[in-house]
Formats: sequence, structure tokens, C-alpha cells
Amino acid sequence: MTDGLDRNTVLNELMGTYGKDVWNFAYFLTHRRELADDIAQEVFIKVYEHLYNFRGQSSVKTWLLAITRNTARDVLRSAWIRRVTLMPFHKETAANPSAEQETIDKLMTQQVWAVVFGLPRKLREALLLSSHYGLSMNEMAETLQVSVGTAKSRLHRARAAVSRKLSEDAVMTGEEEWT
Amino acid sequence: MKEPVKDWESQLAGRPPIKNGFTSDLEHKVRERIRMRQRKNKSAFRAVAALMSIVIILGGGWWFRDDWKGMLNLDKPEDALTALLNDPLGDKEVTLSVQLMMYRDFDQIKKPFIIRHPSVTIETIMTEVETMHQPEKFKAFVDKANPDIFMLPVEIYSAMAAEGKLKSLDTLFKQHKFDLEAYHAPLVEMLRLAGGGELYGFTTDFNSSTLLVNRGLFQEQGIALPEAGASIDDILNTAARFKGTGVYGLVTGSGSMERGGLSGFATFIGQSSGLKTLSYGEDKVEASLQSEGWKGVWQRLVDGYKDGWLGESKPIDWSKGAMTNKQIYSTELFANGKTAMIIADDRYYKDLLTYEAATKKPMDWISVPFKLDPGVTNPYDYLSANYVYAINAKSTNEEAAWELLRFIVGKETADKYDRIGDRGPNLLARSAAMKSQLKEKWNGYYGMGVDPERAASGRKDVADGRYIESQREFIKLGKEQMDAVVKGTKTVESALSELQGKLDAFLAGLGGRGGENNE
Repeated sequence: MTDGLDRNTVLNELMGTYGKDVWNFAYFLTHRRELADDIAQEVFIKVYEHLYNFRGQSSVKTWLLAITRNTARDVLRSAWIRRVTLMPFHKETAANPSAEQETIDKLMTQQVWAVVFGLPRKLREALLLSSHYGLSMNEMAETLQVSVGTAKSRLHRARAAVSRKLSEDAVMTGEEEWT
Repeated sequence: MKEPVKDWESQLAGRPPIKNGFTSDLEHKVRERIRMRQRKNKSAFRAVAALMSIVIILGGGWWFRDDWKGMLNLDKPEDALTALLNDPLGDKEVTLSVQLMMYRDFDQIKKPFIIRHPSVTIETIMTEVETMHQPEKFKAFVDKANPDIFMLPVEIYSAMAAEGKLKSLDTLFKQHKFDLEAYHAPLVEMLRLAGGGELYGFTTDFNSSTLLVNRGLFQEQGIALPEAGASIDDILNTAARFKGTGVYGLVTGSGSMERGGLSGFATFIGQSSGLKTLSYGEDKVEASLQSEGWKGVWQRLVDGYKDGWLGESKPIDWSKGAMTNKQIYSTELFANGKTAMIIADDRYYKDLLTYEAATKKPMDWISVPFKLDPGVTNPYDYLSANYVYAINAKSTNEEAAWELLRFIVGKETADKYDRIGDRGPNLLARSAAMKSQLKEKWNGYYGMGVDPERAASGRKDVADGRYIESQREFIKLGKEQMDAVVKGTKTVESALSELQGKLDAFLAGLGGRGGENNE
């Protein structure tokens, strides 16, 4: 990014391209819509103020996700949030599950997301950065500010935890007998 | 993108099952906030500067309109012009830098200050709370940015005061005859103790909790009101008198966002009674849930719940997305006359007033301070400050920095905060400014009698990297065990024993402070 570019134009471009990703990541980390709103705003304000500090050392997406993560961490640690119970993720439930594959897929997707939201934050963010945002191991390590080894370890543990939980749920709901 | 290892993982690549909140409205807010930050007011000469300020405002400067109205609220309108022309900083063109944390809108302070001191430019630097709680990072920030004014968590304020990095305010307060008597004395004392015996910072507001009482419901049932200074036991006994009346005597939760249910309420009551929960040591986090004290608290509350005089506030259902305060409080028990009492935080005080105004259904309620155990382990719930403003000992703009700090924590800002209602802080440090509501509604919060020394140590545990994970697990396991006791499948004793055991196992995995798993 060069000083010659109009900052407002770049900001608009970034918000248009990455706004939803930043908001989603803020929501993934906090489980609270209004916090995701606040964090997303803060992220783009910071981006505007530090635009010329970006030296292309990572992809723009990685840079934005790292800022989002740091901002969300600040919010979660701030005194204000201390007095608020961290809310569990409420998954939407289909009113009448039917045998149609589309509905089953939708339920399965929601179930997977619900399990992912039940993970400890460190594992959740590693998994989503890989599976949802498609970051490479190096990019993930950079976003999380850890070594590649630590990033790999967290991703592995996250995958194992989700697989385990989904198998337990399958047994409890008797899905194995269904199919 | 690397191929997903498992089938389920491909589900995560698509859209998550939530409505994305990044709307054009949010984009607009970002641009608006950036525009606000960029406004600067510079003037070269005192008389010209004062006149320019007036011209801008009278010329329809919408951005300053509320502040101009605020200035006109001074005893006489001409006082506003006098204030401008007698500006002690008028001869000096000064740029003050103010370090801020993400709290309320600093424009509420910056705008009226600029009107009064047009030759001063204020630059704000937002710091991440992450930076605040890592000593090396914060030191590097301070050395580089060298702000004139800090906005600090109490723990950092304490540390910096001890290191001589902050300017003493005691001398400045005395010199400028700052009216400390108008402020909440325990809070002033707390800040003094946190500063090592001297005031090095000050604040605009504080947090507290107190007993709110629906006087109407007490009168209907002919039950005597709890007295100021009642013990927690007295309060529970009073609540029990509502058994069979059709309303609860007391409910769980703090009223606003805290809806932790019976288990969360047991924790709160236990801590207020001097019992410990989790202790954050260097080598490990320890739980202390298995004691006669905790047994007594849990049993009392479970019995109350089963007898029907203790109600459980339902958690807020966030599944439908963001909600207005009106929606949140439409089912809240105290706000809707379903309980005679609630131990509410300061946020609830403001929210309740707002809800009453919005629904035009005022209730006859008052606040009543109660007695805490001297060994209370959650003093921050009854006396805490979210932030402390302080002057950098190295500031080369001492006079301007003092004028700004004095303005931030002084009478005018406090009066404005009192006037603007729910857009301002909940409980003002300057108790003399709490005028817009009846004293009986808020004096409970000011009368809780917490030992300022206990409160002065702040919330060191929250900065611990293991805090969030351990608290989340404690809350989850506590709820599981309490549910079992309520269902009748476990006794309180066995539930607490299992809670202790499971917590011990989990906490062992967290390890020491600064481990690989923790920040």
C-alpha cells in the first residue's frame, strides 16, 4: 500500500471485501452480536489509522484477522466484560426435522457449528482459521502469534475434540441405528 | 486451501448459521467515527480563538450543539463567554495526547473541553487492553508515545504510581481548591490507597451492587422493609416471608446481564459472605469449594428455590440476535413486579430507570445498602473503578494536562453525565452531582461499606492468562452440580465434593501462570 492511495477509498474497499469475514471472526470469538459489531468497527478504524504501517508481510486477510483477534481479546479481558457471563452459543433448531437430505445437511451443519462453538477459544479459533478462512499453517501461526508447531498442535487437538464430540452425539441420538 | 481432513470439517467452510452483522449501517458508523477523530481545533490567539468558537457554534455547528446548550446551562449565559475569554490556556497553543482504553465515547469530554480551550488540540491514542496487561509492552508504549494523560486500569495505576511515573494530584487538588468532599469518600480513599497513600489519579464513575426493594410489594403483603445495614442472612429471612404470596422474595442474578442462575448466585452470595472460589497462584489455580461455608450457602438457596421464595432469573435468549433493552427487560423479574427484592449491579440501576421511562410503568422501588462480611472476596462487585485518569510525570504540558484532567473529573462533566441519563456512566464519583434521580434510588450503591483497602487491590486475577478458561469451566461445572441438587439426584455435600474434584482435575491441566496454554 502506498501513501499515494486515498485512504478512504482503500478503507471502503477493505470493508466491502472483508467486512463480513471480520464480523464473523469477532462473533466466533465472543458469541455476542453486539460485541462483534463493536469489534468490527474498532478493527476498521484501527486499519484506517495504521494503513501505511502495512508492509505486505502477510496477506491482507491475515492482517485483518490478526487485528480482529487482538481486539476481541481486549474486549473479552476488559473490565466491562468481567461483569457479564459468557453466553453459550444457541444453535437454531429446525422446527420439524424431515427426512429430506437438505434439512439433514442443514441440521448436521448447525450441529457441527454448535460443537465448534463449545470448544475452548484457543482451539476454536485455530480450527476456524483453517477450515473456514482457509489459512495455511504459516498464516495461522502469524495470526495467532504463535509458532507453527503450536498452531499445528492446536488444530490437531481441535479436530480431535470435535470428532470425539460428534461421535458421542451420534451414539446418544441413536443415529447409527437410523442409517 | 488444504483439503479438510474430516467430512464434518467441510461444513465449516460455508456460511456459518448466523446472520452476519456487517451491514452498511455499520460501515457508515466506521466512517463517522473516523471523521470525528480527525476533527482538530486550532487557534492562534486567545480573543480570535474565543470568537471563532462562538461563530462556529452559532453558525449551526451541529456537532457542538449539545455542548453549547450545556454551556448555556451555566448560571448565566454570559458565563459561557466569560469562561472562553478567561481561558487560562488561551495564550498557549498546546497539543495534549491522551491515552484511552475502549470505554465510553471520549467525544463527550473532548468537544466541550475544546470549546472552553480552543487553543488546545487533543490527540487520542487507543490502547489495546492486551498492551495494558503486559508490563513490557506497556512500558514500550509509554516510552514511545509518552502521552500527557493516561487512562489506566486500577492495577496499572497502582504500579505506575509506585514507580513514580504519575504526577501527584494531592498538591494540585489543594492548590486549585478541588472540592474532594463532593466525591464518594470510599472511592477517593480506595484510589488513594491504590496510589500508595497519595492520590495519583482520579475517575468519573464507579461500579457497585446493592439491594433494590419493591416497596409496593412489601406494603401489599404487610411485610416490614429490610433496614439499611441488614446482613445477607437478614435479607434471605425477609425474602422467605414472601413464600406463598405469588411473588418471589428475592431472585438470582444482578439484574442486567448476569443471569448465572442458582449456581452463579450461590457464588456471589458466598463471596459476599467471605468465602473463596478460585485462587490464582504462580504455580497453579486452586479451587476452595468444599467447605461448611459453601455447604450452608448452597443449602439455603436450594431450600429457598424449592420453597418458592427464591426465583431464578432466566438467561437472556440471544438466539434471535441483538435485542433492545426494552426486549431484554420485558421478561426481567424485578422490572416487572415479580419479585420483592434483587441484589442489582449499577448497570441494572440505569437500565431499570430507562425501562420504566420507555414503558411508562414506574414502580415504587428504592435501594437499601446491606452489610458485607469484612472478609468479602468479591469487593470489586461493590466498589471498583473501570479506569483511572492520571497525568504523566514526564508531561511537558503540565498546566494543560491538569486543566483537562480537572475538566474530565470535575463538576461540569459530572453534571452533564447526570443530565444525559443512559448515555452517561451509571454511578458518578462526584456523588453531589447525582441530582436527576431521587436519592433513595441510588444511595444504596454508595452505602455498601466495603473496606477501601480490600477494594484497592483491584482485579489482578482477570489479567491472569488462565482466568477466562478457569471461570468458564467453574461456571459450567457449578451449574451441572446445582442442577443435580435441585433435581434431587445429589445432596449438596456430594455435589460440592464432585465439583471440587472435577475442578481440581481441570485446573491441574491449566498449569502455572505464563504456560504454553496461557497468554
